[in-house]
Formats: sequence, structure tokens, C-alpha cells
Amino acid sequence: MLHLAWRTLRYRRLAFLATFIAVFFGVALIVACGGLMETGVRLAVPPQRLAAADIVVSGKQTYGVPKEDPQDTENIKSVPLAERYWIDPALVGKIQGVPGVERAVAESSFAATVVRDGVPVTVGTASLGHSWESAELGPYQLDGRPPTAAGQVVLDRGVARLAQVGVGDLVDIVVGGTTASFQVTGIAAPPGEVSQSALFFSGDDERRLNPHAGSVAAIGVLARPGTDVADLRGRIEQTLADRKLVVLTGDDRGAAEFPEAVGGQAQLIPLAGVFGGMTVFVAIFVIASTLGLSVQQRQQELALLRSIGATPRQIRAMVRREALVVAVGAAILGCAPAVFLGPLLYRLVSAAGVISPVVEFHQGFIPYLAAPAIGIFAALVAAYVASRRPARIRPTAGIAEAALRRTWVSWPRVVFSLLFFAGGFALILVTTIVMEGAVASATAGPAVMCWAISIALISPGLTRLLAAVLSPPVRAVFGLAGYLGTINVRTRAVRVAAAVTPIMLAVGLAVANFYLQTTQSEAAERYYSDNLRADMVLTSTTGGFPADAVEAIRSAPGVEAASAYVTSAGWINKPYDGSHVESPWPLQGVSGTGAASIAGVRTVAGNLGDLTGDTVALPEVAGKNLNVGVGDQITLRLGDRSAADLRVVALYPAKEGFETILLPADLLAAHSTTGLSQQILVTAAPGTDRDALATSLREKVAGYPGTMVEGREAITTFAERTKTLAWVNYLLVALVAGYTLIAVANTLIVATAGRRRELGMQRLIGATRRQSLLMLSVEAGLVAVIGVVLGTTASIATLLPFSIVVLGRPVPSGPFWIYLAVVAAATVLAFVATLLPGRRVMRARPAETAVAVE
Amino acid sequence: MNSNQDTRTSVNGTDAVRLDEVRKAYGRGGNRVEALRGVTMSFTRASFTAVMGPSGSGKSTFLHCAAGLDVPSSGSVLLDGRELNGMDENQLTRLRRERVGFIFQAFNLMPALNVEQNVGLPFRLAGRRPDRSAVVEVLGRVGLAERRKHLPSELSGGQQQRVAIARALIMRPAVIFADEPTGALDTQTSSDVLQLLSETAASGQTIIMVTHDPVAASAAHRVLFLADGQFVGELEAPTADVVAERMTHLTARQQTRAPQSTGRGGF
Ligand SMILES: Nc1ncnc2c1ncn2[C@@H]1O[C@H](COP(=O)(O)OP(=O)(O)OP(=O)(O)O)[C@@H](O)[C@H]1O
Ligand SMILES: [Mg+2]
Repeated sequence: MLHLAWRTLRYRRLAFLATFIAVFFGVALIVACGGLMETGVRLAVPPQRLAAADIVVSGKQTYGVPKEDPQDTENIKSVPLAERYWIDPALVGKIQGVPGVERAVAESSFAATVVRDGVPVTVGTASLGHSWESAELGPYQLDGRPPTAAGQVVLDRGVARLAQVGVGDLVDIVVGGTTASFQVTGIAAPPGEVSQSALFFSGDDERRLNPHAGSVAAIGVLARPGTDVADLRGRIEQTLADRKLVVLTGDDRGAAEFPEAVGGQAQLIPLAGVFGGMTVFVAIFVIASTLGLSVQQRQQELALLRSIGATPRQIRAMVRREALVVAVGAAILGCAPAVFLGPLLYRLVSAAGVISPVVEFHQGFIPYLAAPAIGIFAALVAAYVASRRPARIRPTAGIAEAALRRTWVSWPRVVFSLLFFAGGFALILVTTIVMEGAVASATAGPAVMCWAISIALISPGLTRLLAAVLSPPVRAVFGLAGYLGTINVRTRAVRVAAAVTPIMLAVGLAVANFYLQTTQSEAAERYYSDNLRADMVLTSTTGGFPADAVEAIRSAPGVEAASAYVTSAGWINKPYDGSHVESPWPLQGVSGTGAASIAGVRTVAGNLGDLTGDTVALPEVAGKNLNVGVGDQITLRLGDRSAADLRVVALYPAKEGFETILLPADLLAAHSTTGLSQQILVTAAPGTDRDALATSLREKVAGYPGTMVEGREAITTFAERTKTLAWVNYLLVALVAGYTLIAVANTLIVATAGRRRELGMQRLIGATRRQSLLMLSVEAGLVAVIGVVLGTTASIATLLPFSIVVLGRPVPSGPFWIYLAVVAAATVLAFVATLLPGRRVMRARPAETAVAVE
Repeated sequence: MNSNQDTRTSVNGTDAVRLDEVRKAYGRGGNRVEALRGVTMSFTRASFTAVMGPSGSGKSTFLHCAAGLDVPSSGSVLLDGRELNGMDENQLTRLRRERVGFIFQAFNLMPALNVEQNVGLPFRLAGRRPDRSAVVEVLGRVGLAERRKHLPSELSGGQQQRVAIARALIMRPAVIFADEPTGALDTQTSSDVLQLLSETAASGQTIIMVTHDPVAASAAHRVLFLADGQFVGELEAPTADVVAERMTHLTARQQTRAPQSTGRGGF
């Protein structure tokens, strides 16, 4: 029977092309998603500045949050920290004592930027200052003398070149918002490619300038020649015996230089998982409908096989084998484009900010093995679905001219469809009743899937129903072509559904996911900054503002109030709080004195003016849930893992799901990676013109190089993450939708080409080419309209309740033209893919095609 | 293979096919059509029978029920001594594969397979390798030995029909059912095909053929007449003229009657 499958494949190459393409691109996408996943899991960050260190000791950038019971040390969730966890420099001595260690060198970094003519000079993503000692860990090749006294600096080659300074020159450097002049004693060449600028100071200067002086970022270990690095690593781990430290080797070492890379892991892995899953899901549906189509087109043939002695099982096996042969070939070939697609996708994803680009892309053999297996599995599942129908064909079907199908829906499909409908409904109920704000999309996303599957399962029936509804107007407008076209669509609903289903999927998934994201972003942006009353925002691009900057800004003309502004994320440790495990509480820091006038909230208890020192202000709901009130003490776990005992000074109302915790800015800044606040929020005095205020602020910030003066939309909110994710989501949804539409095009091409006999016959009895093409156009139009209507229904069923939950109105947010673009793309594809092959078929002589053996 | 025949002849010694009060209705409600209304008939082994009747009289339906391609609404069918009633789809399929051959008016062949592969297909469906010498021999009998490697689309209508006959013969089935096997053929080709069927009957197989053509019917040993889903007469050793005359009669009778559906009628 494999022989028969093989012969059929060769004979009906075109019919299987659609399946081939679906598997081919599906596998390519799955490999790429697998590559993203592997990259996230491995998190290989090749060291740059620390390349010469055999081993790097650094702080663990994740925090174990108890999932249920605060006492339970086993059931914890490891969540990335928002800030760098600094480590104790005394560890250097401890490590130095481990046998096999040649030397242990501390590395610390702080924001330091060369300024030329008032403009910051940065090569790469950031400019950091270090102590010269740590240059040995590169090693940096020094041209000149090392900095030994205060006021001396060694610049890395890139910065020196861009700033056009040489050895002996004086250069302005801004650290902590204060500019000072340094003498360049040397230029250092980095060990390899670096993505950040490095400035090296003398040890004394480093201690004076570093806001985190007294702790270090990492300790680089140079092993004695001939020492086994893995063994040494074990010894160091044993000596340190601290679960809050990590001892890194190989491509893990870079994580110490780029702690933010660890945070990206938590975004990249689920992203890759969700899109890999979505691709598999779409692939199964697309392959099922293309296989279903090819089976439909051979109904006579299959009935003949049945009448001469093929059992239903043999028919099923034949369909399965055909699918298998096609899928195996396509799956193997699909790996080829993945070689390029993976890195391309990763570049786009990391450029969008999902994960730091310093993380090296890895697409090893696992995705190349797993993806084809998944693709073949998807094809087999699809073949199982598609083979159920032909196996039930009555042997007389080929003889009686039952080439047209008469069953629109089957009971198992209706039952499953209802189950998925119920599932979608339940998810929507959960979305509206239980979920709130920022996490509502967690259930809304799967809900779209459920609706889509529900519709896909009974799409032949729905197609017929909608075609019946659309028939009268179409006939009225298009006359004969409308008459023939609507009849064709209605009686061939099963075949037509093969094209309608993927259009519905593409439109439904793309539209729902897109507007879920835009609505989510809009809500996050609105509600997270809702509690802040800023007219202007100052943002530092050189690491942050000095403590006195807020005072200086406050004295500028036209300013009513000014406040430093810091964002971070953390957890409430005491009393135990189970509400924020995986996604920590958003923390906002505002300056104590400005707090009352900047935080635009009406407190329900306490006074925001008291927000100074070791204090905190909580959202009302948190106070209620944790049973704490003004004057009570709570323990907060801040972004850098340190615990802070704080007194609650105020409670304020906040939009459900978008609550944040308010702290004094200086407290939060002290526990941030940079140690400084990077934004200052300003409100205008009554009657002050915005432009006038901007001018007066610009004059004032001239002393802080690299400061941007912007409107309130520049406030850093926790929406940033949603925004980058949104961007990536658009990209991936576009990919999946594009993939689906390719499949649609194929299905239509195959379907139209398979109607040679019918179209030839039509022309023999007197239809002109124009009439036939017009008829095909009507059919293509109906396919597009029905697919779009069903897809839109699936997405609206999700978006409507979702918008009500997060925005409080039924209309989702986002540009309408995206919807139009998706619809237009689907429609154009339906037409092109029907009319092009239609024209080709009609170029042949009608007498030839009419009698052709199909 | 003659030894097989003895084991197959167990219950009803002489009858290859036997129908008892067979009824078949299609559709339901207003669309219900009674295609067979109680047909009782038997076909002896090694006989060649033609079934005739006006269009819509139920000939094809009769053939499908007799061959186990379709299940009657009521009544019983005995095929080569086996009661078809109560058999499931797999048993029916196996029975067809082993004991029944089919020749239809059109669409007899798998378009993807060449002549030889089409003829060998029943073997493959039974999970056996086609017997090459048997394939060559049977193709020689239908005169297509040199066309073994051709695809159906490269053959004429008559040649395709002969391939179908070769396929029906290859398993040496007890009964061969043919539904208008000569419907699309010219006089010379159809007489070749009928000749083949006669020889087959002479060699011990049973042939039941539905036809419209009195000349074709005259090649059979016996003609049965169907009208309105009922058995209305038979002719032994028919000649074309007598058959034609009988047919004219039957057709006229059917036309004067109302459409035989019990409901609104034929659409
Ligand atoms: N699948 C079906 N569904 C509904 N009615 C059917 C079906 N097949 C046959 N019929 C009806 O049953 C009756 C007998 O049909 P049948 O095909 O057996 O006639 P026939 O004698 O073979 O005619 P012809 O000589 O035109 O082939 C007809 O009225 C036909 O309309
Ligand atoms: Mg018939």
C-alpha cells in the first residue's frame, strides 16, 4: 500500500504541494522557535571585559519566591531580580586562598560617561567606569600609563577615538550627574568585541565615584597554569557555600557583566514556547484541511478502491502514508531555511528588547531533531482527522456521481466544537470575573484559540450557512456568475471550508493577538502613570541625577513641584503576600518632599508627605489583603535582593491589576543598579505655559549633560516591558498569519486546478472565459468574506470582554488599519490564488480538459 | 483454483447469488424513493444474466445490493453461499475482494496506476504480491499485453474497459457484476467485451450484467426485466429483437405512471 501512496503522490504532485508547503514552513518556524528557546535556556553570554578570567564569581540574579507557604523552602519560584545584586569585596581574600587560584580580582562598574562639548560620548549600549585593577581580566592592552592618582583615567580605544582625545589630554567625564575633568594617561585596547564603553580609574577614584562603593559586581579568578577549571570551580563553590552566589565558567561568565541578560530569559522562553505552540496548532489545522482537500478531490478514486476490496482501514492507512511521505520530505527540507530564519528572528527579537543582544544565539541539534518530529507528528494528527471521512465513503459513491459531498457536519465534530466553545466561554468568564488588569491576557489568549478551534471543527457547516445568507444579495448583484458561484460554494462547502478555515485562523489569531496587545499596552501605560502628576519629565542618559538636582530643578521658574523618580520591582516578604509571585510588585520611588504633590492620588489613610526615610505607601487593596494599616511595619524585598523594614505611611486607591507600591526615591535609588534616580518629574505652576516651562528647564539642566526634557509620555512605566513584548508579538503573529495565508493560497490553487474538468465542461456548453472567471471571482469573494467574518467573530468574542476588563469599555485600543490590512491581505490572496490558476486552466482547449481523466 | 469452488459451494448448491424480498429505499421524509420493492431472484452458477429495465427502474441499485456494495433496507442476499445480512463493513469488503469482480460503465481505474498495477491492485489490497504471470495471462486474454506500462489516460475508452475486465477476472471471483460495461463503446469493441464475458461464464464464473442495449443482452443466457423496482419478467435464450420489443413495452408502461417516489418527487 505504500507503493500505492507513492504512485498517487507522484501522480498528484500539485495536490500534495499544499501539504508539503505547510509542513515545510511550519518546521522552519518551529526550528526557529526552538532556537529561541534553546538560546533562552542556555543563556550563553560570552564574556567581554572579563574574557581572561577563567572563573567569574558573581551574585545570583534570581530570587526564590515561596509559591504558597513562606516557610516552605522547596516550593519556590525563581524570578529574575530587577537590579544587580552586589557582592561583598571581602570574598576576594577568601577566593584567593583556594588552592589553584593564581589571583582573584574584584570588578565593579558604575555609570561614567565622557562628555565632549556638552554631549555624551558613548560607544555601544552603555558607558561604565571601572577600577584599573580589573582591566587585567580582559586583558586590556594599555598604550600609555595606568591611572594611579586621583583625576587620572584610561579610556578604551573606541571612546578615545570618538571623543578625539589622546594620551595626556584632558577630558570631561560625568559620573553621578556631576561633571569633572580628568587627565587621560593611557588608551586601552579591549580583548575582543565589546558592546559597552569602558573608562578605567585609579582605585581611589573608583571608591570615591562609585555609588555602590563597598560592594563589587563580580570577582574574576585567574587559575594557576595547569589547573583544571571545572575542579577549581567546585572548590570555589565549596569554599563560598553561598546559594546567593554563582560561580561561572565558559559562556556563562558574561552574565556577570550583563545581569539584565538573566531577566530576558524569563521573557524569551515563554515567548518561544507560545509561538512554537501556536505554529504547531496552526500547522495541524492547515495540514488537515489541505489533506482533506486532496482526499475530497479523489473521492471517486477512493470509492473505486472500496468497491474492489479496500477496507476502511486500508483507506485510512493510505491517506496516512501519503501524509507521512510528504511530511517526512518537507520536514527534512524545512530545516534548511531555519538555518537563516532562526538567527534572523533572534536579531529582531533581541533588537526589540526581549533579551539583551549580548546573549549568544544557539540553535543546536535539538531544534533540528525536535521540529521535524513535531512537524511529522502534526501531519499525522492532521491525516488522522482527514482520513476519517474518506474511510466512511460508501463504495457506491464513485459510481453514483457523488463527487459532491453531502454531509456538512459530523457528530463527533459538533461535540468537540461545543466542548471548545464551552472552553472558550469558560476562559472568557475567568477573564471577566477573576482576572484583572495586567494578567488578563493570560486567559484571553487561550480563549481565542478555543473559539478558533470550535469554529474550525464545524467550518463546513458554518460555510454553508453563511453562503446561504450571502446568496441572495450576491445573485442580485452578479447575475449568472453570482448564481453559479453561490451554488458552487454551497454544495462544495466541505472543499470551500478548506480555504475558509485557514483564513479564519489567520484573521482571528492575528487580529485578536494584535489588539489584545495594544489594549494591554494602552491600559498599562494609562494606569501605571495614572498616579503621577507630571507635566514634564527629565531623563538622564548618563546614569542618573545627583541628589541635589531635584532641589535645583524645583527652583527653576514655572516649576510647582519636582520629584526624583525611580522604578524597580520587588516583593512583600512580611506579612506573607501570595499575590505577586512570578511578577513582582512594581515599585515607584518619588522624593519624599515632592511625593504629595507629584503622586496624584487621594490617600484613603495617612499622608504621602510622610514618605521619607524607611517608609512605604501601599495600594488600598494590598493593605486590606495583608491586614496592615498606617503605622504598621512591613518587610519589602527590593530589586537587589536586600530586605527593608518599612513603616506604612499611607494607603491609596488604584486601578485593579495595575497597583504599584510607592517608596521614597532615595531609598529605591540606593537599591538600584545605577544607584541614582534617572528621571525627575516636574509639575508646572498654575498658569505656566508648557513651552516656557520647557525652556526654563532646558537652561537649568545644561549643567547635567545628556539630559532630555520631554512631556509626561516619557515617564518610565512598567508598560515598557509590555511594549517591547507587544512589538515582538506583532512580529510573530505576522509570521504565523503569513504562514497561514501561504497555506490558504496553496489550498485555493490546488482546489481551482482540480476543477479542470468542470471548467472545461462549462466552456463546452457555452460559457465564455469571462463568465467562468467571473464565477470564480464570486467564489473567491465568498471564501474571503466568510473567512473574515468567522475570524472576526472569534476575535471579537475575546476582545470585547477583555477590553471591558482592562479598559472599562467594549472597544479595544489600537490602530484600526491593522484590521483592515489583515482583511485586505486575506482577500487579495483569496482572489489571486483562485484567479491565476483559473486562467491557466482556461488557456487549455476546453475539449481537452472536459474529458481529462482527473 | 477450481479446488476452491468446492469449499465455497456449501449452503445453496447451485445458486451463485440469491435475493429474497429485497427492498431498498433512499432518502427520508418527502425525499424518500423506493428503488427496489421486494425483489426475489436467483442466479445459477456459471450463468450469464442480463438485467434490463427503463432508466430509474432500480437496475444499479439491484446490482449494488446483490454485490454487497450497498446494504438493502430489508430482505436478504446470499452471495456464493454467504448471507450478507449482518456482515460488517470489513467482512463485506473482504468478501468483495475475494469473491466478486466489478466492471462499471466509467471510472473503473486508478488514474495514478498503470495498466499492470491496476490489474494487480486486488492482490495488493489483499496484502499479497500480484502474481505476475497471472497478470500477464489475463491481460493477454483481453488483448492488452503490450499496453502493460500505460496509464489509463493514455488508453481509449474500450481499452480502459478491457483493463477493468482484466482486473475483475484476475482474482477468479465467483461472480462478476457489470453495470453497463458496453455503454460507452462502439459496436465492434462492445462485441469484443461481450465475447470476453461469455468465455468467462463458460469457464465457470457467474456474470450479472446491467445493460440498456438489446444486442448486449442477447449475448447473455437469460434476460431479467425490472420496472419500478420490481421484477417483471424474464427471457431465456434471448434475441436482440425480442428484447427490444419487450423494452419498448416496459418503457411505455413506466412513462404512463406517476413518478415512483412516495413524496414530492424526483429532485
Ligand atoms: N443515492 C441515491 N439517493 C437517492 N435516490 C437514489 C440514489 N440512487 C438511486 N436513487 C433513485 O433510485 C431509483 C433507482 O435508481 P437506479 O440508479 O438503481 O436506476 P437505474 O435503473 O440504474 O437507472 P439508469 O438506467 O438510469 O442507470 C431512481 O429513482 C433514483 O433516482
Ligand atoms: Mg444505473
